[in-house]
Amino acid sequence: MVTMADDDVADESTAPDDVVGEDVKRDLTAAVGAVEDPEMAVGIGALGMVRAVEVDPASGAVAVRLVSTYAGCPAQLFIERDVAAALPGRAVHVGWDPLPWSPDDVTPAGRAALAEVGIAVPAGAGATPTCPYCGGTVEITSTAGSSLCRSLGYCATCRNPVDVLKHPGAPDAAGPAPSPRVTPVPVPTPVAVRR
Amino acid sequence: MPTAAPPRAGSALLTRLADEELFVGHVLTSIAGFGPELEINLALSSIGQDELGHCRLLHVLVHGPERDAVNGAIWGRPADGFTAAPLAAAYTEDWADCVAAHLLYDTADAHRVALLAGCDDPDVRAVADKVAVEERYHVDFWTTWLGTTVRADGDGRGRVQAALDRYLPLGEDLFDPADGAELGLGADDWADAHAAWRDDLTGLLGGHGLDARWDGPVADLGPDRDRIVEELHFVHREAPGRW
Repeated sequence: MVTMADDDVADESTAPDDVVGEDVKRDLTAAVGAVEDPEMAVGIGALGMVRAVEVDPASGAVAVRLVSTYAGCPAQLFIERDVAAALPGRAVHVGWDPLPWSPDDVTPAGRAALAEVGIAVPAGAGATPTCPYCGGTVEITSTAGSSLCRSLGYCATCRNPVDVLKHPGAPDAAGPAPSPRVTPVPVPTPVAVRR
Repeated sequence: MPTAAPPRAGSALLTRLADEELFVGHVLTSIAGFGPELEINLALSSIGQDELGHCRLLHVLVHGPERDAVNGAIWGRPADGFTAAPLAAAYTEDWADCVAAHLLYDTADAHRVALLAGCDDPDVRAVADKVAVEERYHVDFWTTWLGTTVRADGDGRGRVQAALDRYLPLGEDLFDPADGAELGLGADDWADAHAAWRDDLTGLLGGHGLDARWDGPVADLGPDRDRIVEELHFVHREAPGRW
C-alpha cells in the first residue's frame, strides 16, 4: 500500500534527505512504533510488529515492514492508515511480512503496557499466565477470545476475567469445554518432500 | 514499458487452497452466533477469521499485496471459476455436520500446510509457517467439541458418526496433487500426506469410539457451493463499489 499521510503537506514528501541520518531513521522508527494497535491500545513497536523502517534518501519516502499478530486481524487496515498519519509529509509504503508472530515478540515495555490495560502475556509457550491485576494465576477458559490474538482467562484469586495473548505454541490451549482428549491430536511438522 | 511479472509457479494450487480457506471462512463466520455456547461462537468466529486471513495470504502470493488485486481475484471471478474441493464447501448448519466436516477439513489442511512448508518456494514456505502456527488450535477445538458431543447423552454419537460418513469420502479430494509439481511437490508427496492424514484420523476417531469409513457414497454438496458463491457475490452485485 502506498499512501500519503496528509494531502496538505504532500509537496514536502519530495524533499530529499541527502543522507538519511541514524537520528532521522530512529525518529521515524519511533513514530511508527508508537502507533497503537487499535485492539490493544499499545504501540505496535512494543508488540513486536515492526520489522523494518527504511528511508529512501532521494525521495524521503518511507517503507515500513510489519508483521501481523494474526493474518485475519481486521485491525491491519487501521494500522496502515495510522502509520501513514504518523509520518506526515512523507510518502509511506506499508507492507506486511507473512511471518509468524507470538507473544515472545512483545518487548518488556510492551508487556508492562499490556498489563496496564488488563492483558496478560504468557512468559513462553505453555507458561501459565499471571494476572495483570493481582499477580495470581490465570486459567484459560476459552482459547478463542475477544480478538484473534487473545484468549479468555479467569483469575480465581481476584475473580477478574483476564484477556491473555494467545501463545500459538502453548500445548495446554483449552477448547470450549474442560474435556481432556481421548487421543492426543497429532500436529504435522514440515515434511521433507521427495526430490 | 514495464513488463508484467511472470505468474508465480504453483498459482493454480495456491488459488485452490485460497478458495477453500475462503469458503470455510465464509461458512464459519456466517454461522458464528448460532452456536450452543458462547465459547463455541467465539471459536467459530476466530477460526473463520483465521481462514479468511489465510485466503488473503495465499492470494497475495499469487496476485501481489494490493488489495484491489486480491479482492478482484475473489469477487471478480465468475461463479464457476472457484476451484475449492467439495468438502470445503460444506454449508454446515447442523452441529454434528459442523464438527465432522471441519474436523476433517482442518486435520487434512494441517497435513497439506506441512507439505507446503517443505516446498521449493521460500515465499510459500513462509506463508505455510504462519498458517501452521495460527491454525494449531483449530484441530484442538474441533477435537474437543467432538469429544463432548459423543460423550453427551442422547444421540450425539450417532449423529456425529452419520455426519462423518457423509463427509469423509469428500476429504479425499483435499489431497489432489494437481499443480503441486510446480512447487516441487510430487504425487508421492501428496500420497504420503494423504496416508498420514488417514492414519491420524483413524486413530483420532477410534479414540472416541467412532469409525473412519472411507468407502461410503460421495455426497453431492453442489447446492452448498452454489449458496456460498451466491452469498459471496450478493453484496457486490447489489451495491457495486459502495462498501
